[in-house]
Order: sequence, then C-alpha cells, then structure tokens
Amino acid sequence: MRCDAFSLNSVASHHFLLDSHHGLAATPLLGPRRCVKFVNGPLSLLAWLEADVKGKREMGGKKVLPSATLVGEVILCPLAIYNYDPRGEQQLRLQVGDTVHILEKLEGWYRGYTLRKKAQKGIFPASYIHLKEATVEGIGQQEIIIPADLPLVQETGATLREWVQIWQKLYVANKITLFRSLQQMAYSLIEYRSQIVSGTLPKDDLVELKKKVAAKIDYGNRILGLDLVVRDEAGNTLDPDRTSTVSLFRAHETASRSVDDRIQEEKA
Amino acid sequence: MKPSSIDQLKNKLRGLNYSEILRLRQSERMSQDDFQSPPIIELRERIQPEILELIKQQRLNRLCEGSCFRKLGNRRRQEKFWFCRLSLNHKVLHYGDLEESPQGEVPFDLLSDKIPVSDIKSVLTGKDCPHMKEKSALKQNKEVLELAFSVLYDPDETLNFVAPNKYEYCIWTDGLCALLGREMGSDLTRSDLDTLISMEMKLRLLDLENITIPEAPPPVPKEPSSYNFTYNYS
Repeated sequence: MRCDAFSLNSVASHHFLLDSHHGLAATPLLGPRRCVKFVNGPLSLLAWLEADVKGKREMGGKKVLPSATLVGEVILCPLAIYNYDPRGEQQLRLQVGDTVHILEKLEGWYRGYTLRKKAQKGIFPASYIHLKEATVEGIGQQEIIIPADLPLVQETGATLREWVQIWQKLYVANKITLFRSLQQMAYSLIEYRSQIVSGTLPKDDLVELKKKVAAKIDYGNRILGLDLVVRDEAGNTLDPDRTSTVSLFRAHETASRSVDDRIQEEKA
Repeated sequence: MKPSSIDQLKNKLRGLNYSEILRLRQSERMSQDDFQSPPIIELRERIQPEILELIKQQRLNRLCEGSCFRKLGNRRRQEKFWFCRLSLNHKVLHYGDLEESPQGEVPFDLLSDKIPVSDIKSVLTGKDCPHMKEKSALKQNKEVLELAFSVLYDPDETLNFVAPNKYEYCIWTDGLCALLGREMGSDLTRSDLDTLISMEMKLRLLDLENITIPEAPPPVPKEPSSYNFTYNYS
C-alpha cells in the first residue's frame, strides 16, 4: 500500500482516505475548518499516528478496514510542555506552551518547527511534546470522532494571537484608549475560551457563549480594521467551498450590520 | 475558611448551586495564572527582556512627543510654561519657553535651546535635585519633591524639571535612564511590565489549560542514529 507523506500540522486538519485501491492517501489541507474523513473500525487517531508508518496498519489488534466514511472533524495541536534548550546544532529551542508543527518522527525525536519561528527547523525530544488526543467512539459500523477542540476555540486562539501583537504595538505608540479597550476584549475572550474548553458548561450556555465569542471577535476585528469573518447564526465560520455566493453575501451583510449596531450602542 | 466539621461542610455545600460553583472555579482559574511550576517561571524570565524593550520604545516615543512643564516659583512672570522634546533620532533634547499651554504638537523650531544626549552625565531625582536643595519654603513641598528630576550635563550644568503628575515623572525618568543605557526603575515600569508579561504568558499558555505540566524536565532520548528523518514506504 502506498502512502503519501503527511505532516502533523497543528492548526490544520487532514483528509485521510483509506480505500481498497489506493491504500492510505493523506492530503494536508491548510485552514482549520476542513473535515477529516476517517476509516471505520476501532481506531484511535493518536495510535494511528504513532504507529510505525513503514507498513503496519494494525491497531488494537484489528486491521483497518478499507472503506472511507465521513466521520468527523479533528484538529491536532502538538504543544511543548517544558522549556527545551538545544544541545546540538540540529536541535530546536522550545518554550513551554509553544505550538509545534511536526514534520517527521524518529527514535523518540520529532523534526519540525515552532509556530513562533517557522523558518527554523530542527529536532526536539518527543517527551517534551504533548499531542492533544481525539478519541473515537464506536457504535456498530459507525465511528464518531470527538474533536479535541471546537473550531471556534482554535479561531479564538488565532484571533487572540493577532490581537495581542496589535495590542503591543498600540502600547508602544501610546494609543492608550484603544490599548485599554483591546486589553478588556482580549481578557474577556481568554475567559470565554477557558470556559468553553473546560467542558463544564451546559449545552444551552455553550450555545450562548459561542455566539458571544463570535460577536466579540467580530467587534474587535472591526475596530482594529481587520477582516470580517463570515459566520452562520450559531457563530460557526462558513466554509466558502460549501456555501453559495448569495448565502455568503447575505451572511456578510448580517454580520456587518450587527457589528455596526454594536458600535452605535457603544457610542451612545 | 475551612469548615471544622462534616456538618459545617454539608451546610456549606448545600448553599452552593451549580452556577456558584462555576463562578468559583472561574475565579480560581483566573488566579491560577501564577503557575508556580519551574518551566513557567523560567519562561517569564526569558521573555522579560523583550518586554522591557517594548517599554523602552514606548518611553522614548513619549519623550519624542514631548511634554509641557511648569516653571517653579515666580508666578508673576510671563512665561510659566516650558516644553521639552527629544529629537526623533534620540540624539538631542530640545527645550524652550512657551507662552501658554500647548494645544497640539509643538514643532522643534519653536524650542530655542538644546542639549546633546551625549553630554548628559546623569539624572537626579527628588531631594538630590539642585532645585530642590534651595531653602525656600515652596520648594520643600513633599508633592513637588516627588515630581522633581534634573538632568546633569557637560560641563557642569543642570536642567531642572518638575513633572505635572506622577505618570509624566515616571515616563521622563525612565526615558532619560533608557537614553543613558541604564535600567528603568519607576513604579510605572514595574506595572507596565506586569501588564504586558501577564498577557503574553496567558497567550502562550492558552492551550495548556487542561494539561499537567511536569515538575521536572522530561527525559531526553539519545541522539537519533541518523538525521535522515524521511519516511520509508517499503
């Protein structure tokens, strides 16, 4: 069975298709909002990725079955859990909390780069990295992958990173008012994200909170002059490949209008 | 705060509903910001220099914008205000009298005097300032003492300042120290450092929330046998 190389990319998900003709084909896709299709059969994503890519496809004692089924959406996020100082030329420096992109794996080491410094590639110990799991539940023939992180959570993280960079520039340029409002918004977002990730919210509260998060991201992006992300009513970002142009336009209009309303409110 | 008996504990728990507990967890999470684990403390120290650099930039930018100062003493004089501004290349301190408090930007050519930064020997504050050592009763005012600073420059001259408020005092003393290559030591620097580092740390540790960080560094494996990390598809 052939296998294309893949990369365990942190804020990207992958298409994995297994069928009887082509074996395993993986196409890394950029962007955090694509679907991952998984094989059915008791399969832990993590176990699959850890498995020796040289040819073994057996996990948990069962062979992976050769039919592709759309199961769910998974986003991986390899993180450094400790500071690592390089001990040789080829080694990469890690700071705790760094998101890494893993390209290859060998003998307890990963090769890749950090999100902070994409240009520099090197190796680092696998023991310093925590791979966020996705778990699989089986109901007969249907497998359901439970995502480790909602897409909105990933988006919030990316937005926060962008905002904090701007926030620091505002500080240096002494734009005190905007600096302070951005600080408030960032802290709110951090708090909301924390609540979502904790998994302790009842379902209705979660739905409400997701809307609040989406609204806050949109408002913040607007006052900072950043691009508007187009969403549906639940706050999920719309996939341009799957939404009609007219729907996209309407959604954009609605989003824009609600941000305008919000700005008017703030002024009043 | 700890209940001393089971009954007390039961009563306490009965009083808490789900949303209360959630709120308590939230506030715990917020204060848990000060993780004590070694890599976190280490990380804070590692990012401190970059953050100090940001603060230095901000101070120098403020000095380039300039500030208006009041002259001490004789109220009857016509010119009560003077303005001081750092040149954009950070090499010259321009200053001059103003007739009234400025409304917008004060152009450099309005400021008649200047001091090259390379001539500045040191910055004095509070009681050490020459204008604070004079015996006149007005000058012994405590508030004024806390806002006073002086620039000593070659050959043996001083430029005396009284900042309009604590914030400006901190900005200017920090900025002048930064120009002289010295550490910025004001309360404002400490507080700015805290604000900026806290946010940066929160951001870096966003994804680590539900993950336990090990107490000690994880084991480092032996170096790999070859650096040829390609997949073998045989």
